[in-house]
Amino acid sequence: MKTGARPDTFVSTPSAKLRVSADGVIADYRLAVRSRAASELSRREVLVGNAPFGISGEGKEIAQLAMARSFRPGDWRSGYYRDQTFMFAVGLSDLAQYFAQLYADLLARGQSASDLSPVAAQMPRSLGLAWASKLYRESPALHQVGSGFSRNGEEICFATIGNAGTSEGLFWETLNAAGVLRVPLLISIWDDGYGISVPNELQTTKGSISEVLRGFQRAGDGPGYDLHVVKGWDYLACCEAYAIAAERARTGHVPAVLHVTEMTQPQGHSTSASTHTSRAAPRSHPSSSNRSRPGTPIARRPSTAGRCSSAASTIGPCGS
Amino acid sequence: MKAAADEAGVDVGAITEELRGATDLSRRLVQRTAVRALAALRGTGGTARAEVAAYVAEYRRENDERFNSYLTSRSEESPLLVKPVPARYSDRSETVDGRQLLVRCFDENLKRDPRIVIIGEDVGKLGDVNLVFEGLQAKHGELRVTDTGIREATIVGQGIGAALRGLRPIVDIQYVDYLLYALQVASDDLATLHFRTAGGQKAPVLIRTKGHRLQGIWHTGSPMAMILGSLRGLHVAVPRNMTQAAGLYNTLLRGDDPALVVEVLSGYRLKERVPDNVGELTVPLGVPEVIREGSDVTLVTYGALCRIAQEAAEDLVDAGIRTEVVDVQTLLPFDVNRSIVRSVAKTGALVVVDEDVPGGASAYILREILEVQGGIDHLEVPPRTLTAKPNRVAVGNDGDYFSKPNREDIFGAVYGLVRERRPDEFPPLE
Repeated sequence: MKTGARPDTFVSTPSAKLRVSADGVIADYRLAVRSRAASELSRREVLVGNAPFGISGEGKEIAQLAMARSFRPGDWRSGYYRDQTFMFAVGLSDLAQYFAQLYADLLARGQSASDLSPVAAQMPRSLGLAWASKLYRESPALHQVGSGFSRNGEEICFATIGNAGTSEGLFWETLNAAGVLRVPLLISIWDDGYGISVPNELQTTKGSISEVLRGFQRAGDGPGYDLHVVKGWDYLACCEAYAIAAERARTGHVPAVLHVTEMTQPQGHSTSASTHTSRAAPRSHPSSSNRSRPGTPIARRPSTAGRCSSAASTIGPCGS
Repeated sequence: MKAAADEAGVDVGAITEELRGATDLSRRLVQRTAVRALAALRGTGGTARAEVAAYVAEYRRENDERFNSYLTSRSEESPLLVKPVPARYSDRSETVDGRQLLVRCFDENLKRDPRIVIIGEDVGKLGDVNLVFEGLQAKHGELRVTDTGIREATIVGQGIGAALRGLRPIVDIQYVDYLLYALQVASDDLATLHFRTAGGQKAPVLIRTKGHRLQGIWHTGSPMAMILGSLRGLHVAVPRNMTQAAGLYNTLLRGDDPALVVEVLSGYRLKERVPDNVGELTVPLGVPEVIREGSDVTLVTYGALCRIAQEAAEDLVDAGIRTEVVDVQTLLPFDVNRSIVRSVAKTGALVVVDEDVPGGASAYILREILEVQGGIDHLEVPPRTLTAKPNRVAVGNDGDYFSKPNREDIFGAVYGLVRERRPDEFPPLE
């Protein structure tokens, strides 16, 4: 398809504009659809008995594509089992690896990937991944060894966590410590309105994590976090929020929280959890134009399996 | 398989049928059928059975490599490959409080390797609650010796992330009981990282903590079985004094594995001579040390109990009993050269003395010596364990005395083992 005639779109950060070309948008859309298809296929493969267990990132695609646009070589991701779209987008994983992990007992090593499935366990190390940038930038002792490890401490750690995971102590401990240390940690909270079998109102004070994080928000150039609230289906808003947050984290080591709301989880928690999600429900597609808060709960049982196995991919330095 | 069965006249039809009929051929199925066929062929001779046996062994080895490998480093930087360097003393060697010896050790390491950073509660401004880092922040700067808030889980996490990015963090957990806060991170992330990435990622975080004897419920205790059960993938060192601790730190800081070192809390003010090479001496991992030779009973212990065991061994000399006291030095790995069984072969009697709960680390040690090393074959009397009580340590000096193994307990346990063999020479104590 020729797209040359289409105008580019720009999102603005304090010091630059991020160009989002029409081709780029289409490529992102294509990847979102592929990632969604992979999620659906993985569930089917488990249901028919071709794979033992799977857990995937359907309903979380768009914001991850936006996050990937702000991810640069040298940056780190510390995430969990919903981030396949991001991993595809930055080239750290692909469909072959995704399905190799799904069919784990034949094709891959019998070892879980380096993502962490225990809820919020990816948070503590994200503090250190971000803190290292501060050390490489500010510690004179490291200037002699830093060249192979850091570009003047510009590397961001992109941590991801689900809305329900924010109830864990490890989330709060990490959040507080990164605010104290002022490190380039960018925390994305993928919020689909539910956690385990119950809605946000039963998990988070006031039912909104960004609402209760207001106290962490910085005033002017003071200490604290940049706090962004964006809708998970709003591609351009996500691109802009990530671009702004990443620039401030990179240049000024300002940590940020991106509360990404109105995400979905059409297939339930994992292949071992029951799902009564209606495919006709408005939450079922990343490009759904229905942006209203759905009334249909995603009925799910708490799954112990979901805390100990993962089909997500490795973390690592982004080499490309 | 079929050939072996025909040769032996054994029917393995059902087993081969399972293999032949499988629509989904898995490694599990291949091994299971081969092992079951081998069991069916037991007692039969012939070369075909031997071939099946060889296949099973090789396939098990291959799949152990596939599924059960890379718990710790296999690289040339493995701390297990660090060459031992003995402590060197001269006329200039000073005698100081143990904690000052460690200050010098960490100072030397900070000077040697710019990647080393120390983080934890009270490590900077105060220089550690026991002054083991005294003056190091002033000397090396706040970014290399960094005070943190009270947040053990993210102290360990901070170490993991920093190590993944090429640094060599020493993370300080103020007391071993606070490890409970960080255990999930240390177990699920740090201890499994090398295994779950098949050596693709490593985080050589060195966790420093202190424990064993003190007083009261929380600032004491040796929850070593908790550590041994949850932190496989780390090396766990339990030095008896600060010289050994320095040697183990120097070894671990030259290797590429994560590790935990539990210092003896009651040893910081005991005098030790500072080796001239305090930043260079290395104590090898998995090599116990016989700290007192004897011929009647082998007493195996570690950490703070080494000193108490030596005192008890001195008392036992008066009773005509010569006790061999062995300090295991590291619990993970455990006695890689299988040296303790040689002591047991000499004495014929074994007692494991441990500050952990009954059936805790002492059970682990006993399994290593009796089962792995074959020590059971050399015992003339049943082995004994002498441990702390199942409850936490009660308050005060009296609580410590009655809750943990003491000098008299050890005397009684060793005496009992000798009396069991020579009751005529050794009348009952009580």
